Amino acid sequence: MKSFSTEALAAIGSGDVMTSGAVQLGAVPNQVRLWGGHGVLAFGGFAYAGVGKRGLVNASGGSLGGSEQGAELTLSNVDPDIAGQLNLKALRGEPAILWRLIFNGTGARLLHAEIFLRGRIDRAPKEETPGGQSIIRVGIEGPARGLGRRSERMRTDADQRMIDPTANGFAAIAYAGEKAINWGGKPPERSGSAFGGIAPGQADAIRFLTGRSLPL
Amino acid sequence: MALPASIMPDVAVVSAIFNIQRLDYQTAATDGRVFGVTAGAPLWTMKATIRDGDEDETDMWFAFLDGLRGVQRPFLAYDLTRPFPRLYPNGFGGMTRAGGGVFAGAASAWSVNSDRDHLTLSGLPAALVLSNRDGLMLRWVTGGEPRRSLHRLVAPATASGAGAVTVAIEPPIPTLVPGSAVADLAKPQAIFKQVPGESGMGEIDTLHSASGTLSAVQDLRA
Repeated sequence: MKSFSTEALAAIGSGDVMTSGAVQLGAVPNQVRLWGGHGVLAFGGFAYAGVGKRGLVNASGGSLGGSEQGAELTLSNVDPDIAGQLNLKALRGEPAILWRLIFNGTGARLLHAEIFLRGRIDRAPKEETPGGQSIIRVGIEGPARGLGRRSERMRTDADQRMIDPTANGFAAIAYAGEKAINWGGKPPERSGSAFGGIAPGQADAIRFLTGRSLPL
Repeated sequence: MALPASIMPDVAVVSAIFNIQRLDYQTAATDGRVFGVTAGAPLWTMKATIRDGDEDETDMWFAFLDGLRGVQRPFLAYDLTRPFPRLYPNGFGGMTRAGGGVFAGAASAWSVNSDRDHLTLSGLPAALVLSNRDGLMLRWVTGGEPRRSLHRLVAPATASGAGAVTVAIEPPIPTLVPGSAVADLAKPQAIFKQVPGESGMGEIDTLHSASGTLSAVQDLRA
């Protein structure tokens, strides 16, 4: 459920509204902050450099609501001083934070800024069309699933403490509340060992209830 | 070091249009309500048609377009049909500010409302009349390079006896315009870069003249 500020909702309702996006790429100290307008925009304590790209954030519509949410940034018209900071090879796996920005219709007042997606950079192809435009696309993978994981272990504090009750390394990590696991998949090794596996009696009960549709 | 901006020739232009380009996401429902949001800030676009003028004019246009180096060099352009306000088509010669002093188009001070779409100018001649589609620019310099923000009136306005006037303008003033910029009514320009695929001169005929087109998009920088 999205919660927009009251004045942002009023602006959206009246049509007197302008949207844009902002993104923070990379980790300290090599962070790049960009937004879709012109000039420098400051919010949340940081300054974002304008790339003049109006549709900065294209949420990949096909997978919205699916098990894996992602987004794609299209960066063009990037000033050379910014492009120089974007080492495409080094971007993979770097954290990224996408912001949705809502302005009033003239773009003078920032009514609402919210984090749209936290994730990691999955791919960053560069496209150059002779006589056309030069584009850097940055694909960002959300936290719902994927991220190179092969089991149902979640990158959460609770999951980590099942392995080691004293490990608090994930205490400050954002996480997705649920994760889809496909039926028919193998029991994940790590959680199986963490929970001590399935007792023979439990396996018989599951086979009985599911009509042997689950390989155990 | 960026290339210095050149200035668009003002000869042999048969027609031109300055438009405010906006990108809207909209949903028109069958019940007549239209929902939409604007994505990002508006920019100026320009299209000009160059007629097959005499040889001097054609040569000037070839030199100008060649000098743009594709998309490398920006250029300054103003609306040739409205270089000055409509009621003063020949400029501000002989006009004085309400408070005294020569008036050549620049206001002595400006301020803007919180929505940045109403501009208050002061230091104008008393009772200066501004009409629809009259332009004004905010000009400043960054690192030795000229910077422009072009705006157009959407309602007529008349300056007070003290030489102050509030005008409604579009597009709204971008937040990157510094407070030290100068508001100017004379030949209001914007900085453009050409769109190479849509610009160029045609074939030169036996009279050594050629027609052409120029298509450009605003290059807005702080």
